[in-house]
Amino acid sequence: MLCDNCKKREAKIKIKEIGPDHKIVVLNLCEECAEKKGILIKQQISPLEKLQELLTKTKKIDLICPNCGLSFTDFKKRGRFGCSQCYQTFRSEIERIIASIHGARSHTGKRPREGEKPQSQRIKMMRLREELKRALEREEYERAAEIRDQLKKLVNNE
Amino acid sequence: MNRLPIKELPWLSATGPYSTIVISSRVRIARNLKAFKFDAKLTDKEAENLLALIADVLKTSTEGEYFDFSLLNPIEIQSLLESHLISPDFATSKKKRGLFLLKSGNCAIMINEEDHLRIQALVSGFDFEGSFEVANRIEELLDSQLELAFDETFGYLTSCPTNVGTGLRVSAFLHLPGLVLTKEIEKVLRGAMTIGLAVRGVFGEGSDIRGNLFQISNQITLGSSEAEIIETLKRPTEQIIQYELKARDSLSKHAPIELEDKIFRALAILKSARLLTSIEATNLLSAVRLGVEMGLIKDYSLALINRLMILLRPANLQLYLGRSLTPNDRDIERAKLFQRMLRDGG
Repeated sequence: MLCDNCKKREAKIKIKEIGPDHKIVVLNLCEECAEKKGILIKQQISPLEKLQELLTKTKKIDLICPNCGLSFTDFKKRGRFGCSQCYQTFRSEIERIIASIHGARSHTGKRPREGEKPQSQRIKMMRLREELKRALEREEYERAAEIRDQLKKLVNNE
Repeated sequence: MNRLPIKELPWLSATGPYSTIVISSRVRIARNLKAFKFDAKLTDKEAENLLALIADVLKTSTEGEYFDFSLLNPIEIQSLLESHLISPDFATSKKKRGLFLLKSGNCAIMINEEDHLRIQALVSGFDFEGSFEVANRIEELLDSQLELAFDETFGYLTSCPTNVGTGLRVSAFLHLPGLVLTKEIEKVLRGAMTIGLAVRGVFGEGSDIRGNLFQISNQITLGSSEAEIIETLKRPTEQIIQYELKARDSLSKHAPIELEDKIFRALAILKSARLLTSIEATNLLSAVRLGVEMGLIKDYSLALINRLMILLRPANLQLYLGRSLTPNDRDIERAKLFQRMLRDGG
């Protein structure tokens, strides 16, 4: 049976509503339309559950972190890294995982040793980071790279 | 050493904004040192070095007390958990670990939790910015003397990829009896969940909500700035506060006698019972708290109610009385404590 609302997708939920003439109306809805009407609330899974789900789907690879000895298989099992260098070692594998947990690819918050910089520089960096975020959202990667360079310059210019 | 800093815990003071609904605001910042391996690969020896290093930096640059967990007994550790100063995982961990508690009492730094550093600030009432300021000050202090694990793209690196980026978790500890009594709580909390926030009962597991106490927090740590994360939690919290106020208003309009009966009956039991389990005391205290919050009970301060909420917990009770007690003795002593505190007004 097709959904009474969109008439496109398969109806999976049957609801009874009181119609405008005070009569009971039976509606057959698909999940999407039920959600739009606020009847069905999608169960949100926590980032940790999401991580576990993603890890079970991740392919096995033979990679070991040279710094701490953690293998990618260990990471797949426990979902914990062994050291900061693991992020570098497994970068191409974990980029996608991190992006789908957080819905974002890169950090836009504070950075180390920011407190020591003069106020004007901190404000400038904050603006640049906001711009960077917007550029990434618009998928303007060249512009994003430019902003990142400017940011790096500011960071290293201590 | 007085290992029970309850009297000095500022988050119990009920002096912050909207303390009649928001008991406290908490900020947690996760950080790791670049030079040390993460928890999964850290040896005991390395953990000891890590503890010594961080404790030393904190001791020399700020005022506070360091607790080496190998020197604390299980009741003392449990008491820190009951006072919201450490996490459940940290309490049960077998690793070398330590806690630095700032003299001001509003910031506790767990060393060698899942991350090397878990800086937590706890302030009274609805005040995420105030809480962030406290934790951020400590973070900057540590950052100026230690090299933190940071990546240009991923931000601050954490043991678990769910905390990467800002390492920031912001949460509010809420008392929502109005929404529970009007049966609107589920709707409101679900609303918060659909926008990606985590909601849970503070005491008890799953749907077993005790004392009408809830915690709401952000889950995503990467891609938003610290200020934006605070903002994503601030608006829904404001909304929940408004809903709770409305619910309380509606209760006092439509069922004033029933409401007062619930409150004063709870007070009578707490004042007169000879045996009180911690579950019963927590639930009754919620009703009395509501009475104080709505101005129906004027003899007690909210600070006293907050203090009782923490003191009634098993380990805190034993430390407060200075001796270890069997569960049955605890129920007797808890009842005596309530009689005394509610008679004297603290």
